[in-house]
Amino acid sequence: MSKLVLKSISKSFGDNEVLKPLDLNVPNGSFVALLGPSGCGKTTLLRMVAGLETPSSGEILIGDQKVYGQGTNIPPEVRGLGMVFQSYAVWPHMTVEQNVSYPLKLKKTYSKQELQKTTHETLSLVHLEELKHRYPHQLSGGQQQRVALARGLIMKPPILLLDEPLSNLDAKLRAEMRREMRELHRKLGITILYVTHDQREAFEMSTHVVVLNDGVIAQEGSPELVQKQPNPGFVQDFLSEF
Amino acid sequence: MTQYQLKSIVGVFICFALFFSGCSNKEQVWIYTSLYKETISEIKKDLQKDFPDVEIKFYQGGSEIVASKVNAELAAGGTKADLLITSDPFWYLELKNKQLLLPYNSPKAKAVPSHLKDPDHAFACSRIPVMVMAYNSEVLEQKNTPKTWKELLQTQWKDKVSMGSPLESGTNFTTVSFLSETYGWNFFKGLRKLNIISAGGNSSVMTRMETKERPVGIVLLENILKSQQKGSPVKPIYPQDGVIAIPSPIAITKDTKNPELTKKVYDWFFSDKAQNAIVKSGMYSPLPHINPPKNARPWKELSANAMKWSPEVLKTILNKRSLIKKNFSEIVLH
Amino acid sequence: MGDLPLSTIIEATLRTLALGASVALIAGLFGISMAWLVTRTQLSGRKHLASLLSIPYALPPFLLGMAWVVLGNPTVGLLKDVLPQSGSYGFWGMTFVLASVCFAFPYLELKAGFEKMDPALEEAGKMSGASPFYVFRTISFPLLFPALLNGMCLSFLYAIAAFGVPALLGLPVRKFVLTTLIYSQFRVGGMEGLSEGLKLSVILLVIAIILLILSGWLTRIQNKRGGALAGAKSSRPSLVSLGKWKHLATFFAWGFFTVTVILPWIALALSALAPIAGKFSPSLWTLKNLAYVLTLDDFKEGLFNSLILAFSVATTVVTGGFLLAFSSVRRKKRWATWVIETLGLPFSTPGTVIAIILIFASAWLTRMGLPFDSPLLLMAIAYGLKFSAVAARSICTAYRQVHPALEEAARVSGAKTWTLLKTIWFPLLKKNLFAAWLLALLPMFTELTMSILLTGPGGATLGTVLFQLQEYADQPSAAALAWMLLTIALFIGLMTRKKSEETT
Repeated sequence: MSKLVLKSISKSFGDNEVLKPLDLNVPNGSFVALLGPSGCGKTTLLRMVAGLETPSSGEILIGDQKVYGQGTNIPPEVRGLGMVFQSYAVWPHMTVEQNVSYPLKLKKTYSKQELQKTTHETLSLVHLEELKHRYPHQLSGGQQQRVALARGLIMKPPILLLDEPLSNLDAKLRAEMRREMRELHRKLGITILYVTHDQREAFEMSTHVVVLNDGVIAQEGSPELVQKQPNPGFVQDFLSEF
Repeated sequence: MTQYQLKSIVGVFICFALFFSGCSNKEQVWIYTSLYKETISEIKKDLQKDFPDVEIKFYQGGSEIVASKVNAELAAGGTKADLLITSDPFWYLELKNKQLLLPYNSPKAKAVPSHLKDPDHAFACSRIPVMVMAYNSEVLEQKNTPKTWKELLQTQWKDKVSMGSPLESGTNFTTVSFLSETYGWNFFKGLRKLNIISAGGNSSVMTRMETKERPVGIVLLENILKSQQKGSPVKPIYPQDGVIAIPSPIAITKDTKNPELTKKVYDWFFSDKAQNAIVKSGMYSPLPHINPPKNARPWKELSANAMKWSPEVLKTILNKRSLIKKNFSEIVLH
Repeated sequence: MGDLPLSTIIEATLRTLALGASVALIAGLFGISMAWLVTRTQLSGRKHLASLLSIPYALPPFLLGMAWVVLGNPTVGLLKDVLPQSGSYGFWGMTFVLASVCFAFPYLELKAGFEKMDPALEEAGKMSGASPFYVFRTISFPLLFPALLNGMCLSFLYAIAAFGVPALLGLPVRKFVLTTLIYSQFRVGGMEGLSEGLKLSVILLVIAIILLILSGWLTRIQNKRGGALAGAKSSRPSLVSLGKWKHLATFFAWGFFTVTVILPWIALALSALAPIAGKFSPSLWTLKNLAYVLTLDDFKEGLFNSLILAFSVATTVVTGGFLLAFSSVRRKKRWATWVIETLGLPFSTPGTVIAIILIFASAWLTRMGLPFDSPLLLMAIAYGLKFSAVAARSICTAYRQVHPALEEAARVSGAKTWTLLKTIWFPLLKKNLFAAWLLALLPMFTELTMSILLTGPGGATLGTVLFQLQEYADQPSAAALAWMLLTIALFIGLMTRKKSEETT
């Protein structure tokens, strides 16, 4: 079953047509990479799934629930998805623990013990247990990124959205994080939608690659397929830089 | 713009400032006065005509403000003023006692009655503003207005009266001095109970009457006469228990740079030209042969009941000057 | 001359503190709501409103006080039926009028904060399931709180230093604050009055210093948290659609601007055109008052002096600031930083106090033979002390926004300090310098509080002429000058806003 279905989704900002109507099916438990150069519309697509942007047309279904389309527009705070921003957006006035437990605290249905237990579990998942009382300005970039990751995962969302989360890290850290993300995906089986312009990330981590160019899908398929048989023209050129 | 251009502009400005602030070729005579600006404009033209080679400069402010400025200058070593023309007669006695005035028996001032002159010629009265009451005729009918100072204490005048502040206005200080001598401080306690506003100078009182904020006021006759020319509905009330005349002196400071020149300007203020200009702005002249201001009652009528002046009165009030200001401040202003 | 009764001093001190606190609170409330409305919602015309709302603080408060006497006079004010019994007189009248000016301090700080804040911080909250209000409460507000508090501190300092508004709205009903009490002591006259005034000034100064220290501490905290506020913006913030509240909010925001700026301007215009105080009907409108003011000798002297003073002092201050900021920011010279920090003190010191200190200093120096008695010189010193801090700080900020590499490239090529300043820094910072110049110029041009105490023969300025007209001439003439000054201030304020929008 598809976890996420996009039907005829498009987006225009005034005269600027950023995304032409496209369809996308994201299977349950898959790791989908949205790959493309800057300005191709991949981040816009991600933000529309999150609910932070409103499509100009089309429908979005998460599971079997319509979150956007024909009169329906469920706001982001109700969609229950997890998101990791490019700037991490870790709140500087809260500790690691407070950052990560924020979504849980909101629900108000958890007891203090449950809260602590779940937070502890999630922090261990990203190896941040020992830093839970630190403030963001006391953490490195890589550590902050893990905080953002933990926060996005704590509610066990149906889909985890990531917007170029590794672009601000150095090469060594990126390699490390690529491994860890693959591990996490394997362990949790969660559906992931991952935006990047780095093909290495796309091919190493994902189960499906969707190449975008200028608002349209140029090619989609498994990493092996896209790598070995890139469509001539844009995709071939884009990947030949590898 | 380069640095050099910037610097030169700054330099030019500083030069301008220095140039205009002091270095002038002509002789200067500085007159510190509380005369109204319009009166000064009237006088200045004629004065400058009669003294073409002299630059006559005016520093204008309320009498008390001029006094505090001069006092500050004296404390710092010496005043710039050559002539003083304000409306606080007591201050002149004080200056005379401290030997800060240059006595001058002006031939032009001979006709001024002796009780309006200092016996040692340190100062002489050059004009007589007169403090009366007034009302806005659009709000009150003449028959309903207060007829004496005392009547201001009647309860129907609650929230209806305003006056100037004796801390800033010399004429108001004189008024407060006379009223406190005549009726005691209970008079002012009574005014306070009726919520009298005491702020600013005579013009503020006029404004409050004209805007009907306070339809009754204690104000100078000259303000009323001037306003009437502009069509103001404010009319004078000559209090039956006596108008308060304020013989406003003119004096030469000891620090004057050119005594002979200053004496000539002093004389000028007693000339018919000057006195007529003064009368035109609504004040009475101390010289008997000059007419009263237009639309005002003749002096003979008023002097019958007017509060009496004499050098003794001057002395008494001078000694109590600080006390009067303090009492007023405590009773009315707080 | 006896001492002031202690009860009077205590009452004035308490009232001053209360005034500062209420103005700070109300200014803070208005500031944050306006900043939020203008940066985070779909308010109608918000872009225009955004720059218009920063104008009020450039308006000379004495003029606003005059306008509010016309508007809020309990007996005859134009708005008397809408206002409570005492009209605009008294404590709340003073608070409101001052808050209508001071709100610009928190507003500007918060607007910058909202604009610089990484929208992802709020979006992350939304993604975690928080409603817009919860996001504001737990994320936006805590992050912006130091900015808000700093703005409120500035409002407090402004309110306790105010003279014009308490004089016009407080004195007629006998509500004294420290500044008006100092002034009336000064008027009681003589050296005794002056020393009473000095004693009161010390109280005022102590209050100001405490606030200054508090504000400095807050700025340091703000800089620590500021990492988030200066972060890279990965997206534009989404705007809250106000839905059914939109019309009410728009009305509120534009209404606020109207009441604080437009109404006073109209009130002064009506007074200026009236033949006699109180007669506002259009059929009687006359230009006589304007003509009278323009032809007054004092006006000409005042205009000339004000122009010379404002231009020369502003230029000196900006030139000095340009050089000082260079030494402090680019060469890390301690002494330069120290000077700039210290300039914050006279900025926060009430003008009345600065004037009294200068009067004492000048009397003492003159007695020693130094030529310090010219009123214009004293005013130049007073203006310079009071208004240099703002210019210096904004120039420092400008330096910091330029990447050091631009200078380093020139140094490597062999340029020495003077050449650097002339060929690199000056051209780069030209716009900022001009904005700082305008920022310093405007308050100097219409300054009144210090000028009326420092003035003397030949020392008329626009401020002193206005004060004299208000006290000793007829009200329409005073209003005529006030109206002209307000119009000029509005114009310069608008120009300054445009210039600084261009530079940010």
